Amino acid sequence: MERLLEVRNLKVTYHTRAGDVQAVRGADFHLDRGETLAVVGESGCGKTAVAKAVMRLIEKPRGEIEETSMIFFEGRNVLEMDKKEIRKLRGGEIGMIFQDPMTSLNPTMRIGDQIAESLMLHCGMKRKPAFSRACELLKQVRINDWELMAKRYPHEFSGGMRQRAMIAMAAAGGPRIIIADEPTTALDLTIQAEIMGLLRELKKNTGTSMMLITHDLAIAAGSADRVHIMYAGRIVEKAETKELFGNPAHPYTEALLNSAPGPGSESKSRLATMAGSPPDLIGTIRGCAFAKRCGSCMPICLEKNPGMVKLGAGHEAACWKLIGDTAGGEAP
Amino acid sequence: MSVNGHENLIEVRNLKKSFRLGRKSLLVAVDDVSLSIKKGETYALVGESGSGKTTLGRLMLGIYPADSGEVLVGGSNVCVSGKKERLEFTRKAQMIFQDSYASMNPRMNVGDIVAEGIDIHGIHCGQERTGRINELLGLVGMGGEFKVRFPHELSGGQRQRVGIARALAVEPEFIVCDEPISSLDVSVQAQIINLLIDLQKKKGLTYLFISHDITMARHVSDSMGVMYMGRILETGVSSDVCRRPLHPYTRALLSAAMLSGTETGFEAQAGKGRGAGCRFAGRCGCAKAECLLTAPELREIEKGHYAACHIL
Amino acid sequence: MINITSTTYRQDAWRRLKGNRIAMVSLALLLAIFAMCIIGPFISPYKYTAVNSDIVNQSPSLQHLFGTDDLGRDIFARIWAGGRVSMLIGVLGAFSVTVLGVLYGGISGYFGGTADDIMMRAVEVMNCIPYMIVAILIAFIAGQGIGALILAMTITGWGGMARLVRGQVLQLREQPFVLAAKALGASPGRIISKHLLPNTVGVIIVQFTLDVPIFIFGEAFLSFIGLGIQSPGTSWGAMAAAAQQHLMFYPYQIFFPALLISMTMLAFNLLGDGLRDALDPTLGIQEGI
Repeated sequence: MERLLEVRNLKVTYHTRAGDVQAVRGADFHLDRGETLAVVGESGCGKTAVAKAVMRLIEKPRGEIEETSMIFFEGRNVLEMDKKEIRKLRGGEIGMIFQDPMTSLNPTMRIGDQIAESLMLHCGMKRKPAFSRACELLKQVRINDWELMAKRYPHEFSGGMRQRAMIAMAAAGGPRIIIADEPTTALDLTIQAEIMGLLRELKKNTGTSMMLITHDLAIAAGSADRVHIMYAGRIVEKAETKELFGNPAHPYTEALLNSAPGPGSESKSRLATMAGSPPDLIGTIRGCAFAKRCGSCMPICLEKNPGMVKLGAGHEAACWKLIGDTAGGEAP
Repeated sequence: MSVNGHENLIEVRNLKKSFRLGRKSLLVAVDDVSLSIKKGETYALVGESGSGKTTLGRLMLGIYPADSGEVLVGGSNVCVSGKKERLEFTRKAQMIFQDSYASMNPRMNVGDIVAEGIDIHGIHCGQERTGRINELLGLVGMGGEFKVRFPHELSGGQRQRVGIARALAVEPEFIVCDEPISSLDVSVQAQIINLLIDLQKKKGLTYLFISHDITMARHVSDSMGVMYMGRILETGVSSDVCRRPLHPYTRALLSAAMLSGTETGFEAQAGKGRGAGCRFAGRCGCAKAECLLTAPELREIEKGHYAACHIL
Repeated sequence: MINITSTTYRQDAWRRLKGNRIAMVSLALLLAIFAMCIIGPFISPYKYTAVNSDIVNQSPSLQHLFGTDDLGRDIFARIWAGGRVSMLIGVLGAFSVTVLGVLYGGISGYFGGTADDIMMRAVEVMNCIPYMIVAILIAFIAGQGIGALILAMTITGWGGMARLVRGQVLQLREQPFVLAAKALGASPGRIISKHLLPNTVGVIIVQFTLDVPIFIFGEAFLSFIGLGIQSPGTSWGAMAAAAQQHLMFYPYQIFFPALLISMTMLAFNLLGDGLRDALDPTLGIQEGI
């Protein structure tokens, strides 16, 4: 399996007036050719920061990626790339789909032109051929009347169509990886299903790898090969999709799965909830970040942060109750 | 909709509402909708954006005047009430909003926000008022110390709780919950849902639960109606509607929710002008010629389970 | 959740303003000018009306910091005495325009529909009338002086504030929190006073701050062309007008009033900009992490 992306010890800090928010506190993950990785978590867990970091979209003075972090794309160190290389990377080698298609599209440019821009920049095409290729791409993302719509402006598109246009834009440069940051959150349920179907089809046709950032477990379950669960800036569980949903190991993953009503749930029965709320990301967190909300909290959970424990083929989770002794944990 | 021994608190009959867009076009938001809700029960109104569910909720509270039809709450018609009756009515029926941040005046503190209903109707003042605020905050699981906070200092879940406390302040019988959990994290959603369920049991409240999340809607409701472009396409007991969906649109919603992603084909544009046929025909996988010509009526297909579709 | 002590909107805004160095410098400058306008004529050893034909048209010196004019009057004292008038007109004028504009714009925006259409057309017509013409008319009818000037400029100037307030109110009216108040049974009066106006205050304050220099300049201009303050009263504009004739020979005489007018206007504008940033209602919400 060709390794496209390798990230080690990613740490991202945002500087705010209330203090330094440590959005990502040491994340390790990788992405191979042709696979879809879903990074799942609730708001504030750091998943968007992870997505932005991969493309080095986090810049001073607002935020910074710590020096000890390592991000390698096809063996090249992203953090050491010069301006020219980074520009080539963004859009050309890694494409990104943003959450809100309303604000991610230039309202004063025609859709076709926006897609063509990417083509001209990354594939060196001239304007006319770029535009007709843009129309082609709109057809591929199943927009009706693609020739006509390419000459229209974003406000003339519906939400779902805009998202398809965004997908077309992201795919235009022929990237090896597409990062989709909550691509369906702002959309209706049936349109969500269609967009996810479109992304799966895209992956099948072009072999592009995908990194799917979402808070919706159902979306992850439907499209991802592997799933990583994030909480308070760390990855707390990694597994292949079926394994994660069938055999969740980390208490947070279990709680997350139990929060949503299953198909057979009794009407108006109380849902399982987690007490409390996510921890403050300013300053260091002592011990496991989930400890105070965890049903199986042990004394060591409050002291030391657990390291990842291997549970089987590609399945890891960071939890003290999964190992017999206390050796092997990291210091906070 | 037949009444089954239990009294109907809410009855909606042939409600219609259109909005004028610019000079020419008319957007029919609610198109001849009828439903009823029994006292102490929850009716879930499920649909996507543009379905008219939010407008219907607001019509039922009298926030917008309806074009035609009636809304009966406890027997009296909301649509034709005078000013005094409208004021009285606001004590009977309240609303919880989706965007908890925008639904609060950023310049008012939590205490004043919660007590707004009390202040408007002059129910309590002074010490009594403070005591009542504390009591209401306690009901939604928040401490009295939150009184001095401002909306921007609270988390989404806390804001939503404050919104619920505000609605409860006037001791209503009926609460319209307009997408109360869509903007919240999954774990917080569960907390708010539990809160709503508990409050219903404790206070005998009747809910209209508006949502696009059909799974959650099924979980919290007794009956359900599926709306599409201003019309109810299917309605019945929630578990019936979800386990044996009759209408193709309901089936599409359910499978989208269950993540197998049926594709309904090329996306149709949300219509402003209407043809005479079934609203869903343009996106339906099973459309016949008849579907494009006449709009189907809601018929009882199984006991207590209605659907508007020519194919059934 | 981050545990900060509860801050009101006002405290938050003040903190943000403090962080804006340009705005704070402008504020300090304005306070200094204001203070000098009050105490200036007292600390100067010369009365601003004292005529002395021995020392006409003297350049700035240690005795007369800003020099003397063609009647031998100390310009330093006159600047601050004139400043009182100019600032008064600026502030009072902006204030009256604000009151009128808020009332008119608030009503127009809240009720909307046909009433709003008619009211706004009226404003647009008013805006077309140049204030010079009105000032001349009023000068004929009511004579010249501070009151007449303020009246003339207010009549033609309240349109801007009215439109601004109307726009804000129109926008706020559709917000869910106004809807929530309506659902709770709030009367229009309560909605306007408790929900709409407090959220418009920020915009109003900023516009006020930007209106003051407009009034100061308006007065200066009208005085410059002879329609404004007459002797023995003085204002910056009147001083500039009087100094016009000697521009080639005694440029300092026009320099000081012009300097004060410019500095004051600039400071108010910069402060207004800073206030706009500080009072922005989207209170520092963090971007998704």
